[in-house]
Amino acid sequence: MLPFALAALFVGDWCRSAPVGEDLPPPAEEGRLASKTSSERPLPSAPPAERGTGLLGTPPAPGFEPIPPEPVLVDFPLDEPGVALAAAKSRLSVHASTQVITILTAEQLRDRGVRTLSGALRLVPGWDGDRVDFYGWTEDALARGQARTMLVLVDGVGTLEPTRNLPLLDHRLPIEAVRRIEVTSGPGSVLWGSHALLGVVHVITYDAESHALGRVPSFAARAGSDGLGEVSLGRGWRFSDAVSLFVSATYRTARPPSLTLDAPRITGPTPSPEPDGPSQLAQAQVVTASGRSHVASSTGQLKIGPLSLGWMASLSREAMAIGPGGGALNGTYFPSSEVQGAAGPRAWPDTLETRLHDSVTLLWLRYGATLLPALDLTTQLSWSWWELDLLPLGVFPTSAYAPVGLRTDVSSDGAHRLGGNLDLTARLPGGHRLVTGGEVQADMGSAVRIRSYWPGGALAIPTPGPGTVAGTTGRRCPDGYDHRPDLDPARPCSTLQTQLPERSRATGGLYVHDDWRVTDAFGLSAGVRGHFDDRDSAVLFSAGLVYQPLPELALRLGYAEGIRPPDREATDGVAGLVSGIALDADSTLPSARSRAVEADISGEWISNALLRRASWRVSGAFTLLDDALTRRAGRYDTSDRHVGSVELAASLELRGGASAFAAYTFLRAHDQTLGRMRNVPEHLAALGGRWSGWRGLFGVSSTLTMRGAVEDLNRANTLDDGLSNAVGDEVLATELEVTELPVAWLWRLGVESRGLFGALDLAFWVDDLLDSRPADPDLDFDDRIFARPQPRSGRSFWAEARVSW
Amino acid sequence: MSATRLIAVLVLAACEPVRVSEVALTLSASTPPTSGDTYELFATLNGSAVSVARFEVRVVDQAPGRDTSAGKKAAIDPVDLGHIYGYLDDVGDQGLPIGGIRFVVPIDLADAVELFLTLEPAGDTDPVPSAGALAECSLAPTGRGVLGCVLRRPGDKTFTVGTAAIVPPEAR
Repeated sequence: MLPFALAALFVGDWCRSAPVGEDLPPPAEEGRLASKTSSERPLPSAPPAERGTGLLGTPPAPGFEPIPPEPVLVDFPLDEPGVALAAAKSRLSVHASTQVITILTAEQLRDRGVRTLSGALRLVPGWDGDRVDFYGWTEDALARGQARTMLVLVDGVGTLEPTRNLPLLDHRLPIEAVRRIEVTSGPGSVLWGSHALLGVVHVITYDAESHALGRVPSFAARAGSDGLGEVSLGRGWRFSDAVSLFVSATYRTARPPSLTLDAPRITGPTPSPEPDGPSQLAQAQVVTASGRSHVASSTGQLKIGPLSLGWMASLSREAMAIGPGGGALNGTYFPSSEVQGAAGPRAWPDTLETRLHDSVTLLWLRYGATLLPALDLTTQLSWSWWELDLLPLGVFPTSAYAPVGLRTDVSSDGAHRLGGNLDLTARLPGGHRLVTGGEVQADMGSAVRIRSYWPGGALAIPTPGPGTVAGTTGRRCPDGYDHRPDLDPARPCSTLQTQLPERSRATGGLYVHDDWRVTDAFGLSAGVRGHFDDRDSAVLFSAGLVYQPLPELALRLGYAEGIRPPDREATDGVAGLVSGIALDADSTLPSARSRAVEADISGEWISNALLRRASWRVSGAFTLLDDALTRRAGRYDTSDRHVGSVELAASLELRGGASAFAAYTFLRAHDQTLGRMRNVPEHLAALGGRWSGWRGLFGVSSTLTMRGAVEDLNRANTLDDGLSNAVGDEVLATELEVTELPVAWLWRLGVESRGLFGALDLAFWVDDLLDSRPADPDLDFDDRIFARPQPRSGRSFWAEARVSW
Repeated sequence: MSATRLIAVLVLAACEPVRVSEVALTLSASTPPTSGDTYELFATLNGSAVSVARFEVRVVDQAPGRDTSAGKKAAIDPVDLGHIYGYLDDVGDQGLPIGGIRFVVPIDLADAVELFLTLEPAGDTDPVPSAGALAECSLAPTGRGVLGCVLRRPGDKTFTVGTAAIVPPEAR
């Protein structure tokens, strides 16, 4: 009886509940689709319903007289998932675009328990988000299985940190301030310029208007496992019709998850150009421990008429539990008297932790106006600043090889970027929508300095000679090292060297792009961009066509190109460092280029029935990557690749707020040098949904993601020859292992109650409910220092409360 | 031109792509250096000897970016003497052991049964071994998706020259 009762409540609640968040057109009569167009501008993609038929083209019932096919004008909800606000440089229905655009609204992010941009990309077909490298020191998301191939923009400002070309994907971008995410799959450099190699991610944050109309929670608090604590505030003010202000602030603190390392590294081969060598593994498991990470972020927009001033700033101090070489950085890392008490290691002091200072600030000033009835102008100036310090950077813990561990300090005065762009959108006779403009940006990177501490302990050289330290009976620091006990008494020998010299770069381009609506059912697009930077210049093309035999069905065919210059680390890195921790840069590396042919068929059904909206898409693409950047063993190089991909996506929205979505991707990637890319999963999938009942007072959300099996090349964790010494197990350079990482299932489940007392929402989430602890392969199929996959943290949970007023 | 190339690759991609194997070696520090002569590594595949890699062994002089390995023996490309495949077993300047030589070869070595190393005279470019093996080993699956063996002097199984591993295109 209970299942029937629940089903009755489920169906009954659908029938009683009113739709949330939008105005629906008048009830459609049988056999007619309700069509929707913007109140501001009719969509070229939504021609009037001509046949009064449904998706399957069934004829109307006998005696039925079709209503004249006039579009019904209604206001588009600000977060209408079928309309791109930024991805096409002007408002455009995704159905009409020749590109594949996926939109995630704030409501959808919240329904699915998404906490970072990387986590959101895990739900987009063709994308593999939440990927980590260097044992968690860097985070990336893969587009079509390829790393470092996407452009991430926050309110139109690029977020790629110029030293490492890493995008902003983690908690530094406060998800509470995100209004929507628009993901363009495939090359996008004609419209967006540099770095849009295989995808463009637009993050649009709240302003005062969207915050007020979207019933966005103004206060949120969160607590959970690993000592998670988070608070967010958002507030908008509307001073007049022309002046408004929105400000949000978020603070988050948590500890890195405690992990069990089955064979942590004591030492290992440092990256190229240093020689390869054996690895030393500890002979016992180690459980990691670390201090707290802290992230404070703020976003905001001040609007005065056509002028907007916006920012996104984030201060991050991240504690790390595992070094980039796989060593556990726990209490035994610093064996100085400050840590070692008489009875053994004392509690972990904050000042000796390994911390990553990885802060970012984006500031922009935008002017947007309609110059003529058919001509819009947008111009923007932006300034971005990145701080990157690793003070200290622990590499390996103490051992007989390294009695005081291997420690370095990495510091710089940061990197800056100044940018400016101008875009004109003209609606011309004949159905043309012409977008043209250009941008220029200048990167100024300060020098990155690395202080290397001699790992052998105090004054390792026993022979007298020049540099003998007074009172040390003939001991001195090794050649190239200075005696600096003031910096670290346990490691008095250190040397300061420049890892990356100071460098400035300029990039820019001019483009023209035309969308031509030839007929109501057929459209063409074409674009060209002239790109330049201080290394390269190129002309890039794009073209496409879209055919809509039915208003709810679209077929697309497109060609697009992308370009990505190599980052500073790849071209300017200094190799001759005495510490051996350097990367083999190559100043002659060319820019990576992408070319893709894409085909797509999609459909959408909108109605006032129980099924409010249904959409689906099938896409295929073949992509060539020329001179894709590689970094095996720390040596930067390039390689040509090709990727075949098929993507499926579907979503349902039901009356009463219930929804479901599914996404699947098939990938086959091939590298010219390495053959089939075995660290790229062939299958990716996501399935989820949300149901709420009792007028939203109770809801359940579930998201299941799957990453297919992959392989990773590593040094073995076990020995065939039983070679071992007093230090640990020695693994030779030939003791290789192709680690098979099985299919990874991640299930996130949430229960929630919304609208308590009219303003309070409560939720409880569990992530990785199956405790599957998937491990990521490294991005270069490399077995050296960075490489061994380390499992994720496993099951975690958090509870959250939101108040809006 | 780029669109034409794209279409050509699209068609060719339907054919079997190149299958690549990685070969890793360690060689003992006693391996003699060469100057002009080259070591050549062969694999026995389907009953035939297949040349896998050619390299010279030379002492690397101190050079920018190479100072921590100055005075160490390296395996270098006999054509491009600046290209270092790796180093012979030794101890680096910081007291940490070094060693490991790596080749990426466009040959599917998944079915290779044996590896052997020869010394080829200067100017020899044919893919056929011209001398007896300096070291040899029988490859066997290691249970970790690779093939491995210990290189020993022929006729003297107590003399270990080094170790070898092959990462085939597909895990075994």
